[in-house]
Amino acid sequence: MESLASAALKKSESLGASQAEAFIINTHGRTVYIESGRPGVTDDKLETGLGFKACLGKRVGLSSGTVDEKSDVEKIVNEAFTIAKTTEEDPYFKSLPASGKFSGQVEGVYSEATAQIDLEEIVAKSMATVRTAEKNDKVRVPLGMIRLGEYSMYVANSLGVDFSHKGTMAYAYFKSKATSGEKAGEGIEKEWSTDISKLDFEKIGVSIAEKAIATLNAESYRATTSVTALIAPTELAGLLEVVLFSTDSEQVNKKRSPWANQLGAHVASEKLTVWDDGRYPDGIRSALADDEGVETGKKTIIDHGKLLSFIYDTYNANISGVKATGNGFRRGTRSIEGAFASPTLCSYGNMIVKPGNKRFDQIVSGIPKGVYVEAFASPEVNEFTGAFGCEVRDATLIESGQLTKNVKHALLTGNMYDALKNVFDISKETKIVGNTVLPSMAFSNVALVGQK
Amino acid sequence: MDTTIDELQKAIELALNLGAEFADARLEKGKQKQIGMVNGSIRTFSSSSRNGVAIRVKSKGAWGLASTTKLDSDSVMKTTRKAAKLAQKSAAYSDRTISLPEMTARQKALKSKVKIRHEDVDAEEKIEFVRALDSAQAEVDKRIVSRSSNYVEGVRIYELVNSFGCRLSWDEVRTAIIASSVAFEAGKQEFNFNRKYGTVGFELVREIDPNDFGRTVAKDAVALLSATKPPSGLMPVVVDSEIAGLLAHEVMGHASEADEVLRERSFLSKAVGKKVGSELVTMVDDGTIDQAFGSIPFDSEGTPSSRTVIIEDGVYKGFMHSLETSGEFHTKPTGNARAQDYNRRVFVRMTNTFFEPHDCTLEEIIADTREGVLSVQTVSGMEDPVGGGFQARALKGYLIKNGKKADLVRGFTLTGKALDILKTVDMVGKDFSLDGGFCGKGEEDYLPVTSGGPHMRAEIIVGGG
Repeated sequence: MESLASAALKKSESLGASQAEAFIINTHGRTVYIESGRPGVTDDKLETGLGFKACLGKRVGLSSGTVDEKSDVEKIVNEAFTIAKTTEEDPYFKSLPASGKFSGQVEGVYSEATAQIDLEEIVAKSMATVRTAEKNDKVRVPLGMIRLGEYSMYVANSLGVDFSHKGTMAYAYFKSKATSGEKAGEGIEKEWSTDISKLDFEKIGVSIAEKAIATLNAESYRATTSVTALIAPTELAGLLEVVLFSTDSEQVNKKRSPWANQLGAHVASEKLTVWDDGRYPDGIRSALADDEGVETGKKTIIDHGKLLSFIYDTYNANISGVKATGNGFRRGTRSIEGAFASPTLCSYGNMIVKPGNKRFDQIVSGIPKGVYVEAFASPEVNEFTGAFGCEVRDATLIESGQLTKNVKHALLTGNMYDALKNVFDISKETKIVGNTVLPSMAFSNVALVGQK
Repeated sequence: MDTTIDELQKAIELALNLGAEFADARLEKGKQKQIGMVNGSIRTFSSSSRNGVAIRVKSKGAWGLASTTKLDSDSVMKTTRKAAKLAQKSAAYSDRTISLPEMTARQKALKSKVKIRHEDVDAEEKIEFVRALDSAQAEVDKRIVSRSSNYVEGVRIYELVNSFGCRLSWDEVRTAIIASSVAFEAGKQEFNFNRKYGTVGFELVREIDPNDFGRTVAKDAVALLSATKPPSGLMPVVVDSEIAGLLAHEVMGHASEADEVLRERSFLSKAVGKKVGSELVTMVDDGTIDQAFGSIPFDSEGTPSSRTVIIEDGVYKGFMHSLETSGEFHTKPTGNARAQDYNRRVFVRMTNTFFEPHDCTLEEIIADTREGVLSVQTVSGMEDPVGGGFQARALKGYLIKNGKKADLVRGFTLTGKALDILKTVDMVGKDFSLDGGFCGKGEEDYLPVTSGGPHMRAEIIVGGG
C-alpha cells in the first residue's frame, strides 16, 4: 500500500499538483446470510481501492477506483488531475492536513479471532442464533446475517501525513417471525463489535424470539395521547441523527444546521451530555487518526445540555478557522467495502451519550404514562425542522410505572429538537449501535397517535 | 489485466469441474462522476471507477459467492475455487435443495440507446448546468440561506456467463440531478428539494430548464415557512404519485418479492387470487419501461426484465422472481434478481413499481373531497413485508376543505395497514409519473428503482409535522 500511495503522490507531483492525498484500503469481507433458518448464501470478498485528491491551488479533483495493477493507480491520479484542471476554484478550500505524529494503538480495534475465524465457525454461530430462537415453537428465523470485515488502510499526503491502520468489524443482523393463527409478529436484533468473540449469538436468539412473541400479541393502539416515550438504543440512534446533523461543521458551514449560531447555548436538557471519541476502545471506527490522517481524540460536544463544540474535518475546520478534530471519514459502519470511493465526510468517530444513573427498570417505574419503543418502522427525523412521525412496530405501554400491554399501528410524533430539551431520564445501560454508544432515553410530552 | 468473457467462461467450466450444479460469473465495470455545488461554489467534482468479478456457485441447498477486484486470470480462477468451496461447506448445513428452472442459453450483446453520451459533453457544460440550478435558487428570496445542486452520471458495463450457456453483455447508463434549498426566517427553518433520475444519457439534463427547476425548489422552500401544522388522525388523503409509489413499492412490492414469500415473511403469501384492494387498484412491476431509472435489460442472473402484474382490478395476481424462487414456485423468472454490485448477493428486487392510472382528473378528486389532505412529494418510506404496515413521510401537503385545495401544511407521516388503505381507494387519477431513487432491502443493498402511479384517494392515518 505504501508503495502504491508513494507512486500516486509522485505521479501527481510530476503533473504539477500543489497538494495531493492518497487513501488506499485493502478489504476482506465475509458474510453468512441465513435464509429460512439455514445458510443460504455465503460470500467472500476481496477489494483494493484508491481514493485520490489532486489540488491545483484552490481547484480540487477527486478520483477513486479499484486497483488491479499499477497502471490503475496512474489512471486514477490522471483523472483527479484532469478534474482539478477543469473544475472551478473552491474559495473555501485552504489546504490538506499537515503531518501529525501518532504513537500507540487504540485498544480492541483489530481482532485476530475475527480475521482468522473459519467459515464453518461463522455458520455455526449463525445457527446458534437460529436454534436458540426456534426453541419456541411459534418462532422461526427467516433471515439473518453475520458479516465480518478485516481491512488495512493507509493515508498519505504531500504535506507529510503518513498514517496506517488496520481493523476488524463484526455485524450481526437477525429477524425472527412468530405466528399464531392469522397473527404474525417480528423481532429484530442488530449487534456491532470489532471482535466476533464478543457477540453472544445465543443471547441474540433469545432476544429475537422474545421480541417476535411480544409483537405477535401486540394490539393496535386506538387513542391519541401525550406520553413519555422511552426509546431503545437501536431506535434512538435514528432519532439522534439531529445531533449528528446539527453538530457536523459541514452542515454548520452550509448554513443548514439549526444549531449553527447556538454555540454556548442550551440546546438540550441538562441531563444530556454527548461527546465524540475517535479512540473509544472497541469502537467500530476507532483509530489514532481519521481517514485524512488527522489525530483523533475525545471532545465534549454537548455538556449538560450546553452546546460546546462542533466536529470538524480539515476542509470545514479551515473554513471555520479552527483545528480539525479528526472527523474526516470515508469508512462505513456496516461493511467496509467501497470506503475508497466515498468522499471524505465530516462525521463522528464514535458518538457517545453519557449514561444516566438509573437502571432501565428504575426509569420505567418513574413513568406514570408512557410507551417503551423497541422498534419503529424507521426511526427518521427531518433534521432541518426536527419533526418526526415514526410508525411504532414493537412497543409496550407504560402505565403507573409498569410495562403493560404491547401495542403497534401507532405513530409517535413530535419535534426532536424540542424533545432534546425534555429529556425525562437516561439509562445507565448502553449499547453499541454502529459508531454510537447509546443508553435508552426517555422524552416527555410526545404524542402517540393511534388508529381512531 | 482485463478479464474477458472467455475467461468468465473458463471460470464456469472450472466451477462445474469442482462439482458445481450451477455457476455464473459476472464482470462489472462501473464509472460515476458527480458535480456538487453548495451556495455558489463547487464542493465536489469527483470520478469513481469500480471493477470487479463475482462468481456464484450453487451446491445442493446453498450458494457460494466470491468476488475480487483483481481481474487477472489467476485471481478469477482462485475466486472461482473459493466460491465452490463456500457453496459446498454451506450446503453441509442445509437440508434443502435448490432446483433452478432450465434457462434459455441467450447469447446477446446489448448497447443502451442513449441519445447523448456523457463523455460527449464537456465538463464545462455540466458545471454550467449545476451553476444555473444554484443561481436560480439564490435569486428567489433572501430567506434562502442554503442551496445545494448536484449532477450525477454513471455507466455500468456487465458481462455475464452461466452454466446454462448464457453469454451476455450489456450496459446501463444513468443520469440524475438533485437540487435542494433551505429557507430560514425568525428562528424557523424549512427544507425543500426536487430531483430527476433516468436510465438515460445527458439528454435528461438538456430537457430540463435549470432556472425554472431551481427557482421552483427555492420558492417552495420559502412557502413552507408559512405552512401550517398538518392535521392528525384517520382521514381521506389524496396521495400524489410519490406516496402512491411508496405504498406500491414499500409494502405491496417488498411483500411480493418471492424470496420473502418463501421465507414466510410476506403478509401476501396466501393472497394469490384474493381481493386485496378496491377494483380501481392495479399494480405492476415493469423493468422494461424506456428511460425509467429502475429499468434494466437483464437482471444480475441474465434473465431479461419483464412486466409483472401484481394486482389486477383489486385482485392479487402473483410475485416477482429470481431463478431460485421461480424454481421453487414452478414458474418463470421475471427478471427481478438484482445485485447492488460485484460485492453483494443476488436476490429478488423490484425495478419500476407502480399503480396504473384510471379515469379522474386531480381536480375532480379534490372537488369530491369534503375534508382531507393532499400529499405532495415524499421524503422516505419503509418496508414491512411481514406486517403489511405502511409508513411514509410526505415532504408537504395541502389541506382540502369543502372540495377545494386550501392551506399548505408542513411535512407529515402517513401510516396504516396497506390492505386497509387499498380497500378504501375510491378515486384514481388519469395522471401518471414515476419517481426515481434507490431502494435498500434489509437496510442495505441499494439499487436504482422507480415507484409511482397516479393521484389516488384513500383513508389513511396522518400524523407528525
